[in-house]
This record gives sequence, structure tokens and C-alpha cells, in this order.
Amino acid sequence: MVKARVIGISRHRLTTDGDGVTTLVAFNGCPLRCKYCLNSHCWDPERGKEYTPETLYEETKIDQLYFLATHGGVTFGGGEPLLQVDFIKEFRERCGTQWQLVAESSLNVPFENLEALDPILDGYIVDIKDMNPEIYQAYTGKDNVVVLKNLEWLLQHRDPNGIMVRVPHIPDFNTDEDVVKSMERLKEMGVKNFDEFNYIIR
Amino acid sequence: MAKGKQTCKILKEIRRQIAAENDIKLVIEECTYQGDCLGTCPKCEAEVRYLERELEKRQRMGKAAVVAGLSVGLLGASQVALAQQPDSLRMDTIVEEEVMVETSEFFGCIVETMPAFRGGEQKLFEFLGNNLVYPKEAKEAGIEGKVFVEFYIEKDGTVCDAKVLRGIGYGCDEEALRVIGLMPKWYPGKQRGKAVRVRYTMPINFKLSK
Repeated sequence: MVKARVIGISRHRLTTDGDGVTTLVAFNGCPLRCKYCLNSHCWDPERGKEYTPETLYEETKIDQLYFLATHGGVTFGGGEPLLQVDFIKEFRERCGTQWQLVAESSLNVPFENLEALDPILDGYIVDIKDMNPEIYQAYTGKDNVVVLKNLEWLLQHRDPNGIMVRVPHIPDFNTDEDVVKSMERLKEMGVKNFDEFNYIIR
Repeated sequence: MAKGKQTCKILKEIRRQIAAENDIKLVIEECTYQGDCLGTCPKCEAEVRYLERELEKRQRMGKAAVVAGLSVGLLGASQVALAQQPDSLRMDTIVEEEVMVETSEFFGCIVETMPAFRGGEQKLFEFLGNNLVYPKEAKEAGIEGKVFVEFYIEKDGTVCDAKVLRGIGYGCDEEALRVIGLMPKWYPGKQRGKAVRVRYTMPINFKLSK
């Protein structure tokens, strides 16, 4: 039985994670170590409550009427949701085709994961950080080679309107000029939807 | 309005639409809780469970449950609703403009069962889209915006006493009133099972295509 640890479930999000009424399910586990991570407790493999696709479905289906009426559903975040291939596949089998399933991902995952989940996902929110490899490495502790390859593949295989790319202003790591450069490069790649925002350091 | 209260209001409106569309009697009482909330509470949850049971009952009796996409447009109307409106809303007679309508912001007194356009929100969109004409004067001056119209739904469903609460001029206010005046009878609002007169406010969005 496939299981995954979930660090948080947030119901009744209205258009924050995609269209309609959505429930955000945040998974434990992430390949990145972002300096200002909001959910850094997801790095501890012991944190979170263990779910099976069945138990998660049972817990989220209480909002099924809202999902169906508004074309909403579940947004998987984290942590890194694309590490949970088997779990999300099985969840889709449980919830059926009418729920919108969206992944909020860094895309810094093996291509096989993306390829396996792509057919059952309705949309993506991509947290790109910064397109400059040095800034990305400094902020996340990882390189972004795979991110760019995965994004390129996605843009070739999907309607770009279903992909929202988040481009943050990261204090002490990138400048406004870097953000502009990132967005220009992303536009050249075919990205149509952007969410440009500021990280707030607490 | 605090976020939780706003969420509560939107979820309540979704429940109302599901009930109205499926002919389910739903008694919605105004929440008297003063502080902010999470957008839902045991009473709200109980209403959802009740709707689920009623829909299941109808399905067992061979009736279709109408839920899918019913409330698209209620959230972030400018982005969600307009992107998903059907082509039928676009007026064939005018090429350069579209009259877009949103019914996402309903105001007025709270009754147990709010009045509903016969055929649901989709039919309301279609009706407005088929009848609204972008005034020439507004078009030439590049005027866009929302006309807030207030009207009453009588006990027998008749639409009457329409007036503009906030207009944008250039013929748009008159046009909005003209079309509201053309509306067929609605299903009336109900309080404790009895039809009541209800005040209704609806924004009508005039937007020129780029």
C-alpha cells in the first residue's frame, strides 16, 4: 500500500492555487533547501501525518460539491509533490476525472516522475526561483539544469495556459533586474502566465 | 470584510446555487457570529452533507444531479468566469465588442431561499448576452465599467422597480435598465416556505474587446 506523509491540508482556498475552490495538500519531502522556505519542517522525514491515497481521498472529498460546482479540486504542494508519483496516480483513480488536480512544483525532479504524472494532472504552478544558475544554486543549494529541461518539455507537451510560473523577488539573492531577466527568458521559452511576487522574510 | 467571512459568503452562495438548480429546499440562515471564522463551521458543513444526501436521493430516483460547473464564475469573476463563458454569450451582431456579464456579486437582504433565474446562472448569462447592446456612444468614447443595478423580485417572480445604484453613463445605464426590464419571471425567494419579495443587486460589466 502506497503511503505518504502530509505536513498540512488547507481547505477552501479560493483561486489561490488554481481556479475554483481548492484544497491544498502539502507533502513532506523536498530536494531543495531554500533559504526562506515557508515549510522547512517538510525536510524532516518524520514530520507530518501518514496517509494512503484512500484516506486522503476520504478526508478531501467532504468538499467534493464545491470542487465540482467551481471546477476546483486538489492542489498538491509541499515539499515536492512530484516525488509522490504512485500516491498521486492512485489518488486520481480514487477521485475520478472531475476533480482538477494541480501540482505546485519546483520541477527539480527526475524527468520520469514528470512524464508519469503529466497525463493525470490538470495544471502546474511552477516555482522557478531564479533562472540564473548561480542565484538558483545559492538560494536552493541545487542546480537548475533539470528544472529547465522539465519546463521546456512541459511547454512543448501542454497548453501553456495551464502552467503558471511563479517568479519571486528573493531578498539578498536576486535583484529586480534579475527577475526581469528571468521573465524575459521564460517568455522566450513560451511561458504565458506569471505570478511575480516578493518573499517576505519573517 | 475579513477573509473567513468572505469565504463563508462565497461557499454559502455555491450551496444556494446547487440547491436552487436541483430544486432542493435549503434553509439558509444568516450567520450571527461576529468574529472572523475559517470560512466554514459545523452548521455550514451540515448543509453540505444535507445537499449531498438530497442529491443522492434524486439520483436514486433517476433524476440528474446538476452540480458540475454550476458556480464557475463565482470566484474571481474577472479571470475565471469570463475565461469560461460560452460562445453563446458573444453577440453575433457586433464584431468588435463583447458585452460581458458577471453575476458574482449578489447583495441584498438574506432570505432562506434566494430568488433564481429560471434555468440557472448559465441561462441568465445567455439572456443578458443575447439582449445587451453596447451603446454606440460608450463605444466611441471607449467607456468600460460596471453598472450596478438594483431591482426587486416579486412574490410571483416578476422583476420590477429596477434602478441604477452606480452607473458609468454614456448610455450604459439605460441599456442595463432596458435589459433588466426585459427579463422573464424568476423563481421567487422564499422565507419559511412562503414566497417573499426580495431586493437584488447585480453588476453588469461593459467591456470593449481589445
